[in-house]
Amino acid sequence: MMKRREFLIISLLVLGSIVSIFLNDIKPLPKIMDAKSLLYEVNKQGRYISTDEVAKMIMENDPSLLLIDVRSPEEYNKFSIQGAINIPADKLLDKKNRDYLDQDVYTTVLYSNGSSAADEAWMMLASYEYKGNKVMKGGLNAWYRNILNPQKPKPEKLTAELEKQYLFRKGAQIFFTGIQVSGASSANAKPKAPSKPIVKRKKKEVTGGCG
Amino acid sequence: MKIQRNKYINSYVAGFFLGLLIIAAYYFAGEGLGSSGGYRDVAIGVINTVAPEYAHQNAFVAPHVNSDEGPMHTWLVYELLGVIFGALISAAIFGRLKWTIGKAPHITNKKRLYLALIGGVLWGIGTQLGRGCTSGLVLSGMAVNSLSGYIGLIAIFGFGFLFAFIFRKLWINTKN
Amino acid sequence: MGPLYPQELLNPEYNLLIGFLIGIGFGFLLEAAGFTNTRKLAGVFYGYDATVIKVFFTAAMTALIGLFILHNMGIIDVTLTFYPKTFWIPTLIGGAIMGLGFIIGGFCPGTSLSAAASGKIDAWVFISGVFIGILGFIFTYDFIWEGLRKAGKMGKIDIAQWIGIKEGLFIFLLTIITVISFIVFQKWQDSWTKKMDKSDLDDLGL
Repeated sequence: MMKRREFLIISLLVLGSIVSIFLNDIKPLPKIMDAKSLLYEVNKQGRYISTDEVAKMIMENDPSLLLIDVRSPEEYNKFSIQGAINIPADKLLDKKNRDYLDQDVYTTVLYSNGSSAADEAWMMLASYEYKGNKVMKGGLNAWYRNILNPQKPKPEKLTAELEKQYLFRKGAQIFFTGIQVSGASSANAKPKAPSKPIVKRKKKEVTGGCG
Repeated sequence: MKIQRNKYINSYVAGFFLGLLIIAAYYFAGEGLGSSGGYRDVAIGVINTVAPEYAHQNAFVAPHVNSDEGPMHTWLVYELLGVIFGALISAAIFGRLKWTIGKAPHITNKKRLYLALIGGVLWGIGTQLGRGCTSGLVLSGMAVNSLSGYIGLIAIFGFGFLFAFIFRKLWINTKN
Repeated sequence: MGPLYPQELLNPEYNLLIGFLIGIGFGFLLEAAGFTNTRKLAGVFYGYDATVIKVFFTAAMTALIGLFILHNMGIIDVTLTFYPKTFWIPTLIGGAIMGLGFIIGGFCPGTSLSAAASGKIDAWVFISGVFIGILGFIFTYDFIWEGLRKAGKMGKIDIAQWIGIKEGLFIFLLTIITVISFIVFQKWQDSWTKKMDKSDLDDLGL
C-alpha cells in the first residue's frame, strides 16, 4: 500500500529522471588525468618558458620564480643556474618536495641538460595534477648557447628584434658569468635554496566530504 | 523493560528532504554532506594540539595543519555540531531522549558495547582508507555521479550483505 | 550562481553557520527517520526493515537529479564543487572494512553521532571506537597505509562517462533500478512483518 505523499515523491523522481535524459552531460569534468586529458595538457600552450625569460626573471630578482634542477646531484653540484634547487627526477614525487611542486604561488621552472628530461618530469607531475609548472626550453644547452655564451647574429640576418635580443643576452652574460666582476665564480657559487613556499595549498578547493 | 512504540517519519519524505539538504550543501558550500571527514578533522585537531611537531611530520596530518584557522574550524566539523543538535531536537520532539543501549533483544549489553567499539574502530580505519563514509563518500558521491561513490556503495553494501550473513546471530534470533 | 563559497561569494563565517544549520537538518532527519535505531540500520541487511534503503536512495536520487537539472539550468556549477576523486583500490578495500564495521558495530559515523545525541550509550562507545580507529590509522599511516591509500588512482571520474553512456540516461536507469529495489525491499520487509513479535515491531516502529 502506498501513501499519497510516497507516490508523489517517487513520481517526482521518475519525472525528473525522464527530464534528465534530454539534458546535457556535465562537462568538462575538472582534472581527469586519463591519457586523453594528459594529451590535452601536453599540447596546451604555455608549458615552455624561454631561457631569456628565465634570465630576465633572475636578473630582476623576481620572487615568484622557483627554478628546479631535475638532474642528478652530481651534475647539479658541478653547475647549476643561480638560485635553482635540486630535485632529481626520481625524487620528484617525494612527499617533502610536494610543497615546491604542487602549489600556485611560485612559477616553478624545471630544467635539465636538454629539454627531454625536464619534459618527462613535467609530464609526470602533470599526470599527478601538479599545476603551474613550466619547462625551460632547450635546457642548460640553450642556456649556455643563449645566455652564457651568446653569439652575435650574422649581419645579413640582423634585425632590430634580434639585435635587441642580443644586447639583452650580452647583459645577461655579464650578469651570470660575472666576467667583469670576479672571474667565473658566481655561476658556480652554491645558490641559496629559496625557502619552501608557505602556502595554503589549493586554497579554494573544497576539502571534501569525508576521508 | 517496557518498549514503547517508536514513531518515525515517512522514509520517502525524510529521504526527499535529505536530498534537498545535500543540494543546499553543494549550493552554498560546494561541499557534500559528510561525517567521517569531520571526525578526521577533530582527530587531527587533537593531534595538532598535543603534538604539533608530530602533526607536521606525519604525511597524513601535515596537509591539514597548514591553514591559519586551525584544522578543527572546517565546514564539516560545524556541520557535525549541527547534526548533534538536530538529533537532539528530533529525539526531544518524538520523546526518544533517554539513555539506552540499542541492540537486538537476545544480545547482552556488555556484548553489544564491545561490538560497538570494534565496529567503530573498523569504521575509523575504513573511512580514512576509503576516503569517506556512507554520507561523504557514497551519498555525496552519488549526488554528483562520481564513480568513487558507486564503488563505495557496492563495497559497503555488497560486503555488508556478505558479513551480515556470516554474523546473522548478532541481529537475528535464529532460535525462533 | 552556485556553489557560492568556492567562488568567494559567501564569507567564511556565514559558510560555517550554514554548515551548522544544514547539519541540524541532517541530524534531525536522521533521528526522525529512525537512523538512530541500530536495529533498523542492521535491518536492511536482513530484510526486516527497508527504511535505510528508502531514505538513502530517495536522498541520493533527489540530490542527483536535482543537481543535474540545476546544473543544466545554470544555477549551480557542479564542476566547482567537492567532486570525489576515484581511487578504486582503497575505496573497495575500505568499503569492505566499513561493511564489516556496519554489521559488527551497527552504525556508521553519521548515524552514530545522532544516536549518541539522543542518548544511545552504544553509539558513544562506537564513536570512541571511530576515533581510536582514525588515530590508529594516522599513527601507522607512514608505514602501512600510504601506498595503499594512493593506489588505483583514476582522477575525477563520472560513472556515466566511464561506462560510456549519457549521464541523463544513466540517471534514468538508476531511478528505475531504485524504484524496483524499493518494491523488492518493501516486499521483503512485509514478509518479515508477518512473523515478527509485536515488541520487535514496536521497537522498529513498523
